[in-house]
Amino acid sequence: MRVLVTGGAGYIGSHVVALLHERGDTVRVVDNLSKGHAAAVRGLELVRADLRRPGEVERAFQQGPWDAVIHLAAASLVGESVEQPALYYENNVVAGYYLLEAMRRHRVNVLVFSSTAAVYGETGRVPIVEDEATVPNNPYGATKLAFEEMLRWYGEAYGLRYVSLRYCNVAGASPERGLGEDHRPETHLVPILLDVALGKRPRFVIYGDDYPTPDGTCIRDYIHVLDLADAHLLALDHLARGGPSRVYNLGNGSGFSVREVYEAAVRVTGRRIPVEVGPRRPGDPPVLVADSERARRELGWKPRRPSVEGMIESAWRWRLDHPDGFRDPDPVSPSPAAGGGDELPPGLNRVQEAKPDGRYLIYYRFPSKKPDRPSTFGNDPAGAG
Amino acid sequence: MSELRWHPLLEQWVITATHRQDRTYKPPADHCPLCPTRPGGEPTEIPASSYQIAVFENRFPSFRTPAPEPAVDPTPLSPVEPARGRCEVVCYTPDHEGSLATLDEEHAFRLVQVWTDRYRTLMAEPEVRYVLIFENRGEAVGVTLHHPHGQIYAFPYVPPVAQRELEAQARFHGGRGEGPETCLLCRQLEIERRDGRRVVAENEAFVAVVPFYARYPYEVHVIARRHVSALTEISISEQRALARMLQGVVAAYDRLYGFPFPYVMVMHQAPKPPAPALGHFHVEFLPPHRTREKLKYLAGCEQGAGSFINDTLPEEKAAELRAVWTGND
Repeated sequence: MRVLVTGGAGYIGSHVVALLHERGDTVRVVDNLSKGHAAAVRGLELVRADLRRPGEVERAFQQGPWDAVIHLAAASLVGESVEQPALYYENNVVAGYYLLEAMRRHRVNVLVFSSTAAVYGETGRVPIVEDEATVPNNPYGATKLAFEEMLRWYGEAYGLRYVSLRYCNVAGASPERGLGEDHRPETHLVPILLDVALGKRPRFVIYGDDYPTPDGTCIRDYIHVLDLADAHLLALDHLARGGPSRVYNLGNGSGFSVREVYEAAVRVTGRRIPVEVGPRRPGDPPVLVADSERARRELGWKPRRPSVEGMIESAWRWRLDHPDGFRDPDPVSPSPAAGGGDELPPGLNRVQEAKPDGRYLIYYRFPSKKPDRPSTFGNDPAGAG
Repeated sequence: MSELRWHPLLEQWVITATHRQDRTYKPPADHCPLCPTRPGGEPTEIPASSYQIAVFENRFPSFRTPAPEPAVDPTPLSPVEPARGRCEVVCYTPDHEGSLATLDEEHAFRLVQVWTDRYRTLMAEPEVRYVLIFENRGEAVGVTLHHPHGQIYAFPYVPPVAQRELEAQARFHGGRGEGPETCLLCRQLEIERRDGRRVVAENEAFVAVVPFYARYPYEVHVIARRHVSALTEISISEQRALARMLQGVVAAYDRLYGFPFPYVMVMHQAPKPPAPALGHFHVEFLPPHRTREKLKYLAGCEQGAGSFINDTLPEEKAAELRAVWTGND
């Protein structure tokens, strides 16, 4: 298939794009790089376009035809949305309108929308099912819901078919693919925990430990970013098969408390993570867990990486490989193996030096069971030769 | 001088590296450049008077970073690119004599960890798309230095053999996503283990097999039992199991005819995306001997047509290797 992916250079988008590409689909990433990273989609076609500008959207659709759009571009911070609702209407509704209009002009009738469980608001019900009333309590959820409603009416009138994926928290990385989470500023739980483990932040703050939950801290649903990316592909396949427009919740089913995630991070990193308990944040419900039975049944989706340790472990490996996120090291660095030995296995040491002609030479050392084994010098006339 | 020239008929890069003509050719043992430097002696590639495992940049690299600008212009059909990347030499041991098989077990395990670190480090370089860890052993495969060592090429593109295997694996898993249930090599491993006739040895993490479709008489593939795509994904106990299995294969080869058996050993690992698939980690041994005296030459049919003629039965060759297997597995 030939797929346009908006927001494809972002955290979730880059994972979606990698999986599409790996299975042989043709992908064009459309991203304004305000939050995304060109390095996350290196080697793939990237059209730098801002969906709030119709001319740029039109340009992104050139050299078609395109079979489908996966729409992940959005402004997505709850707190910011309360302070700057205009930004959210512009990014999530106005830009969405330009996108749908371009799809209509270019006769692209299939769209997968990366929505959010924030469309439900504070339902108080656990776990949340898709038929729950949608009463968002912040502009982020409201603008995502507004776009879902646009999709529905475009479907009725113009034959657009869509899948809307509603999910909560996403974590993990794909270090094998060089992909991970790099937000500026960082507001997400797992990357913040890893920052503290690396000493880049002084401490981790738990906002409230007097909630009506087993350990008093909030419970949230986390899914691995690769599981989430899988769901986008399955939704695309559902529509490609001619499946009807649908809304699906995606979640892990049970959820983890903030303290459980913290403890898992301590176990995975093996580092000290100073922690303190602060007051509750306004608007944080005690438990948010999505019921993804419908997605399991109809799309055949199931989280294959449900363990929070696994998510943290993959994120940690990526962070160790990319201490400065997607800001890659100097590409002509003469010493690729220089630097800390963090990623070396126990007992293996690496010492690098430069030869007079500038080439590097690396000695690997390890405890030997035969410590004083004499080496047979090839250049010793008396040696074995 | 070195650059990449595009072969428009085969649609692949040719690496032009004329400076390699001058490389060290079979030096006498007392001038081995891979031995440690003897105190007061002439310096070798390794100035230390002792080492355990050492890695250095090849003095005659096919790829280097920064790469020299190509000295020729492209033609209308053949683009030319700088030969970016890295070429490294891995000295397995300070001992001039010996082989992968004669390293003590702990040392071989550490060698696997060194390979892992090289793979991770080189894959992190921006211009690198594929890391090829390999060993050429014996004059029959053109080896110019006998000191036990291997090489690593960090390519700026995914080379054709890897690309083709990855495309086949991608076609096999189709739209189902890459995983153990949808992996071509996981399936092949199941087929080989169920049949059993071509399995040379297996341990808890790796299987050595003369595959059903072997192209060389004594071709052996060491395949990870778990679906992993690279060294960086295997555990410490799997690293030990891999070291034992590779040593077992080389030891069996050497016992077969009583002389150090020449081979090309190549690791097949995941490329840097975008790629058709990440693939299933395995190590291929491609030995040129078809009998004690006779070599298999790549001639008309192989070089000219790309089709291999194997005039032996993989089932029989696997039995020969099993009969001389002395590994712990």
